[in-house]
This record gives sequence, C-alpha cells and structure tokens, in this order.
Amino acid sequence: MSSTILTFFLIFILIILIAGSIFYFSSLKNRFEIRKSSSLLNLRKSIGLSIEHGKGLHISLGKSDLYNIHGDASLIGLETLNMIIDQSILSDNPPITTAGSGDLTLLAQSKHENVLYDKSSSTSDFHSHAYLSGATNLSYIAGVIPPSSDENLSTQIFVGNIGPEIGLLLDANQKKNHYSLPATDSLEGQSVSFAYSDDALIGEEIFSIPAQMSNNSIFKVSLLIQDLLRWLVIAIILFVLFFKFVGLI
Amino acid sequence: MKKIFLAVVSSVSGLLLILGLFFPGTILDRIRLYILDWAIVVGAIALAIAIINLFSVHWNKVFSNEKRDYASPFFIVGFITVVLIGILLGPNNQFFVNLTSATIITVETSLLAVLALTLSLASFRFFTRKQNLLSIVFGISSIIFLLLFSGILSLGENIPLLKALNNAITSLPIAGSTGILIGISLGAILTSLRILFGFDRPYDRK
Repeated sequence: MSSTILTFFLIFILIILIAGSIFYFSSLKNRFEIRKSSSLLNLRKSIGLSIEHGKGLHISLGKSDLYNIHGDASLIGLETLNMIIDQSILSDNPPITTAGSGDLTLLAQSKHENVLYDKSSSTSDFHSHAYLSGATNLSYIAGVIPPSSDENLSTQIFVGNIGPEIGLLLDANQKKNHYSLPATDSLEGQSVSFAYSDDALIGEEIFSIPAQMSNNSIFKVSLLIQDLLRWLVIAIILFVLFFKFVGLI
Repeated sequence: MKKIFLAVVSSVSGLLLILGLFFPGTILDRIRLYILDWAIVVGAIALAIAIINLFSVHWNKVFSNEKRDYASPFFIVGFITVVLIGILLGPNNQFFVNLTSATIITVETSLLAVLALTLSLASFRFFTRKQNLLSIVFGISSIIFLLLFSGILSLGENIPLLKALNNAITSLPIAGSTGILIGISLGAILTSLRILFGFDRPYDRK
C-alpha cells in the first residue's frame, strides 16, 4: 500500500477516535436520537410472537470467514445472534443457527452452549443448534434450505455475507409465510433481498443492527460517527466536484 | 480474568496487524504475516471441526425418532464415500477430482438454474406486490438498464450525442453502487475499530 493511502487511513482512524471520544464522554450523544428502523421493529415483534406461540427461530450468519474482507458482516451477524438468543432465552424452542464458515459455526455453538448452561437445561445438545451448512456459496444455501423449511418456524434472520442466492431462501420463506429479515453486505444480495422482502436492510443499514437492538451507548456512538463520516465524505465529493468544475483540479 | 485476557489478546493482535501495515519491512510487518498465517491455520482447523460436527448432526438425525431427516443418510453415504476415496487415492488423483467436481458442478448448476427461474418470477411478482414510488423507480430502472446493457444503443455509437447519453446513463449504476459501497466500508471500519479496541466482543459467549 502506498504511503499516501496509509497516511489518509491513519488520519481517518484518528478522526474516528477523536470524534468517538468526544461523543462517548460528553452528553452530546444524548442530543441525537437514532431513527428506529421499521424492519427491526418488525423483527422484534416477530421474535416476541415466536416465543409466545412456541415457534422456532432460524438465524443464518452468511458464508464469510472472520478473517477476510466480509468478516465485518459476519461479526455483525454474530452480534445479532447474541442479542436474539438473549431475547429468546425464555422460548421452549431454542433458535437454530446455520453458518457457511467453520469459525463462525464454533463461535455460534459456544453461545448456544452458554445459553443452555444458563438455563440449566438437562440437554447438552448445543451441537445440533448451530452447525455448518456448507463451505461454498451454493452448498451453503443448499444446506440452509432444509432447516429454513421447517414447518415449526415463524421467523428467519439472514445476517452476514450472502450473495444473490439469498433469493432461494427468501422465496421459500415467502411461500411458507415466515417472517424474514435479510441483511447482507453484498450488493447483489441486497438487490435480490429488496425485490423479495419489505424489510430488507439496504446499504450500511446492516451495521446499525446492534445499535437498534441494544441500549449500549457504544453502539449509538458508533452509529453517530458513521453518519458524521458519511456527511464528511459527501462534503469532500462536493468540494472535489466544485474544484474540478471551476478548473482548479 | 478470562474475559480481560481474551479482550487484551484480541486487541493486541489487531493492533499488531494494523501497525505491521503502517511499517512495511520491519519486525512488525513480519509479526503481521505470522498472525495472518496463524489465523488461516486456526480457520482451517475450525472448518474441520465444523465439518465433523455437521456429520454428527446428520448422524443424530438418522438415528433419532424425533427429527428424522431423509436427506441425512444421503449426506452420510456421500461424505464417507468421498473421504474414503480421497484418503485411498489421494486428493490429486484424476478419478477423485472427476468424482467430486462432477457432483459439485452438477448440483451447483441445478441450484443456479432454479435461482435464475426464481429471480425471473420474483421480478414479475415484484410489481404486483410493491406499489410505492421506490419500487416503481427500481422496476423502471431495471428495465432500462437491461435494455441498455443488451447493447440496443450501441447501434448509434457514431452519433456523438447518443454516445454521450449512453455513457452517462451506463455510469449511473456504477455511481450508485459506489455510494452504497462507501457506506458499507464506513460501517465496516467502525465495526472493526469497535472490536479492535475491545468495546464490542461478539466472539465472547456472554
């Protein structure tokens, strides 16, 4: 990587750290309200109804390993899984988790194991609650189809890196009248999700899930900085456009 | 104590990776490469464990009375066959390569065909299901760009105005996707930093 790009990257990180510290340690963050996403409100409602009716939940974490470029989407998937499992701890039916990568599967399993331990459950079968569905794009989808077509499910959440093949899952869900929340960082996956679901999360909305589902101030600060940086990028693009227009660049 | 140790190890490893990027050719860069190699090895071991777990899940489904799945015996037979042939003949043997690739390619091609049909049907149903402004714009732009990318305007490439118009319109999806990608990148950077500094630990079981 060239030194200019690295310098810009360093400046960028410094801006984030300074802005983050200001927001986190001051009362400035309380002046801003996070707009509630209707998709995530519907998800909460659907999880509540699932628990009430004794129906199951299925969470799919995508196919990306944690150490590659889409690892952030997988980490958001893992964070969402943690929050959903905590919410559905009272349910008789523990959520089923599928993943397309080994490391994600093991981390999801450890969360399931912990919940079973907290509930003092007599069963220790956490291995069948979270498992690998397939290691390639399409084998992952082929592996997710059987658990997602379970009649006893009512809510399905797809958070992570999933390509246009998400269409196969959403189509099956639509036919079974399951509630589904697709959230992927893949552009093709997002466009297919938009065509299938009213609650598809578009663009960077996937990264707002933790802030929407938790009251932790660190998530709120993170979302505020994300918005701030977006405005900064817009301002830079407009300035460059203006300078180019007047012939200064 | 264990939690603090976990957070410290992950934060220090992340910081070493970033520092290695900023100081190429130094010891930090070499540490970065070592950590990346370890991550790949750990990832491979995790995948092997997850595959064994998948096998045990299907094994239980075959022999339990509650959640019997009729696809599970096929998985077990296929898995054992491939593993045994792979061990006996070696992963580079032509028969083994042909057997695995023929199976994978056939199944994946069938799934792609189903996906193509499903998406075509979805695009037709889309207009009946969603009737708001955003959906209309989405639908109309899909049709316009399908026509444009089919090369319908390339007939008028000699006409400067038509060529400029074609170029301007075809650059619109690139501009749009770049905008979305910038947003995704910002979200990804902030998520990484949150985890790097230990503010958020999705890998932690509690």
